[in-house]
Amino acid sequence: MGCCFSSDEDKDVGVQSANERTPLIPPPGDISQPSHGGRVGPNYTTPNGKKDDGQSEFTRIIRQTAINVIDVTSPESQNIEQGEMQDRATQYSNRLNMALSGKSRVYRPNLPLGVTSPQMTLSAAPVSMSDVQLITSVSEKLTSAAKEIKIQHKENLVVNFGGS
Amino acid sequence: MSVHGIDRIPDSLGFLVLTEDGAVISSGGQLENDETTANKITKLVHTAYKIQVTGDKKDALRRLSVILGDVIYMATVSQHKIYVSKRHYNPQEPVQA
Repeated sequence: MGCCFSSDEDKDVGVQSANERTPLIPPPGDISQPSHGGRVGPNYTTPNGKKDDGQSEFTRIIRQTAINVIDVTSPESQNIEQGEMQDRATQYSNRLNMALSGKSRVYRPNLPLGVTSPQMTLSAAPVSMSDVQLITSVSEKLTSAAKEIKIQHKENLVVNFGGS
Repeated sequence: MSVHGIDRIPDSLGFLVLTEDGAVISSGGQLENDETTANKITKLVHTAYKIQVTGDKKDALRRLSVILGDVIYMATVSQHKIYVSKRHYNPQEPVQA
């Protein structure tokens, strides 16, 4: 807002005197300008000078833009060394993995091909009673063994470093 | 929709044909549209496939059996589909003391 206001003020004072506050592109209200002053001399030179300024400013903007633009198709970017390429690939895949691991995304691997004839497998005699008993007794033994695990306190887990 | 003759299994009480992620493709008998059982069996199968059967990892699960009283659920995998059969469980061998 402040900027707009100051340029308006300049216009009120008089646009013809070209100083550092003079806008490069003449404001739209300037059509009445030629009839304002002594006709030929200065009025021809001033618009020309302004035009040149605008042109140079335009060129400057284009140059600045060209510097700022990253040309992805430029051949320069393809000249990355092999090692650097590898480094970047590892870096990107690491970041990707980090991003993926953050999500609660359950990765479920596909099932293998499995058996060829499911009806044969399912029609076969069920698992024998002795096998069932074996599994049951082993799992019972393992459960009781797991319950038996005890921690025997022998010494402090935290010891003084360097203490004798 | 092919069920590979899974509906003609002796002593069968019901059957399910599921996709890998547990969606019901085909069903019949007591297991008709039984999505609860389908989900449970699917989880069991996926877990069971992670268990190493032999040391060289060549052999994997062939058939998963769940025995509940006098009923046995049997599941197997073929062509990336899960086949489940619910059967009467009448053990062939005498109970060993």
